[in-house]
Amino acid sequence: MAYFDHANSSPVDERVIQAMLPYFREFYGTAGLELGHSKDIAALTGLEEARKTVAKSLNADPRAIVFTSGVTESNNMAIRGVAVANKGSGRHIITTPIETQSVLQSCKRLEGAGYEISMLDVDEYGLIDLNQLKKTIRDDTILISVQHANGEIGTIQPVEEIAEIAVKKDIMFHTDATHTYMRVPIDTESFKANLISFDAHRIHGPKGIGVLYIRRKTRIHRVLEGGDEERRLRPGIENIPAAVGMAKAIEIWEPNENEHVLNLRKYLEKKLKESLTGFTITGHPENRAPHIFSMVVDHVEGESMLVHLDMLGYSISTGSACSSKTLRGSHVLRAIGLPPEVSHGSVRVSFSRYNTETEIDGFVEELCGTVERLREFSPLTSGVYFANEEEDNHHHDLPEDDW
Amino acid sequence: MGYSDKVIEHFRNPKNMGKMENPDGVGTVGNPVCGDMMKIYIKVEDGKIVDAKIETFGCVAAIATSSMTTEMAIGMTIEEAKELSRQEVAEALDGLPPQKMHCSNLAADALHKAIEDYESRQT
Repeated sequence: MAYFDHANSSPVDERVIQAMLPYFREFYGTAGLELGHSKDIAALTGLEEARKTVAKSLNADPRAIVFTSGVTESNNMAIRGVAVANKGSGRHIITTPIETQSVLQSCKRLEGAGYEISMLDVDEYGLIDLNQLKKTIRDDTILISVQHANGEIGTIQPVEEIAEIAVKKDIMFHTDATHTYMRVPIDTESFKANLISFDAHRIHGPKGIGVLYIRRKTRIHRVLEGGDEERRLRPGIENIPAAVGMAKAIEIWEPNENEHVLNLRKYLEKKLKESLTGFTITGHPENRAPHIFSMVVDHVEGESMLVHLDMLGYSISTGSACSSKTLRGSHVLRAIGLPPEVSHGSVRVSFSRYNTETEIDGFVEELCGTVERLREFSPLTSGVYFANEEEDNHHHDLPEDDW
Repeated sequence: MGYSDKVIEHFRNPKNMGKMENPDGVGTVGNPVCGDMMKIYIKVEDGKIVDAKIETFGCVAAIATSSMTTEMAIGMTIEEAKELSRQEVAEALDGLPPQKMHCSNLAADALHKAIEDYESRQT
């Protein structure tokens, strides 16, 4: 048995839970006033210490750290906040089709409000082309938003180069670092992004807390209205226990952790090459988040693999349309050019400090058995494709939501 | 996951899966682009379906409905099998998640096509 879905969410480390508990039981004040009562002062101290820890992890000033409820909020704030603050100088935004939904939907919403969005192409690995980026920049471009690493296929974008291009043109650059934070070094002294989004629950911290790093002099407006919290950029009482938990998760991160997950990923690749047939690794072979392995398996469907492996005690994920409520397949796999019948067989395995090679041995054995079993009765195995030429309208005949 | 115990049971131990030698009728529905494809084979004696086999590419619901449809069809007369609906298959599995009702529950359609194929061979 093993949990291999750490890119989705990770178990909270016991040390994190212990660090958080006093902020529920004793230090339950808020951090709004510097001259409040002792409960508030204790809460404020905890929050500000957490802010310093986060800042240190990026080699940044604590004033650049704004706590949010998670990456979705950080991304909304970065994109919509920059759009509002810069509308005087332009309404053109550049992003990629493989961003997470909170980036894509924020852009879509702006598009409906008179902004223009340019989508960069990505190659078979999911990489953007810097020359195309340079050509896409216009006088009225106000923001470039390109993720650091992709959550489904792990590919790391050349964000340092993008930041340099953006700085030269005085364009704001935002990157979603959800899948690289703590796993790939980020030093904001040398890496000139204006805005960086990340959260705690993928690094063994709690859910409900994230950060938007905002470089000094970044032109951004708040998107929520309210009080003075977080330097008025993000009003609302901070989630102090979670911020303290996030800081603890950062503090206990071991220097060899990223090497550990990288070794596990390479070990899995080696084992699969020895024992599984008919699969292709997706994403960049080298330049990728160390803990994310992804592939497509021929002739079997991802949800079936996921549920079958789950019965055997292994948690993985898939980008197959069949596993989503809307039945829309992964936009990432589509963007890197995989046809739907191939992306239906996608599998992602993501590691953490808790995983071992022994777990991978057991997993590979069960995965091979699962695939073999499903292939036994798959009509695709014998090469029967597209036997039915008729329109299959019912496939897109989704029921209306009752609510 | 939102699947009933019965769906999971049929997914875990699907019945009548695989190819059939010398079938009396064959029906194929779906395509792999949509994520579900089924090919059903039937054997008919004296107007009754005496055996059925199915090959399925697809999700848990697709595999479970394939298994259930063939189980229900075996023993039915051709006329009864023509009336077997997707709804009845879903009900026999104690229901399916709403988004799966339309997309993965295709085995009954495949069965009807196999019957058409069988009937066309009789003339």
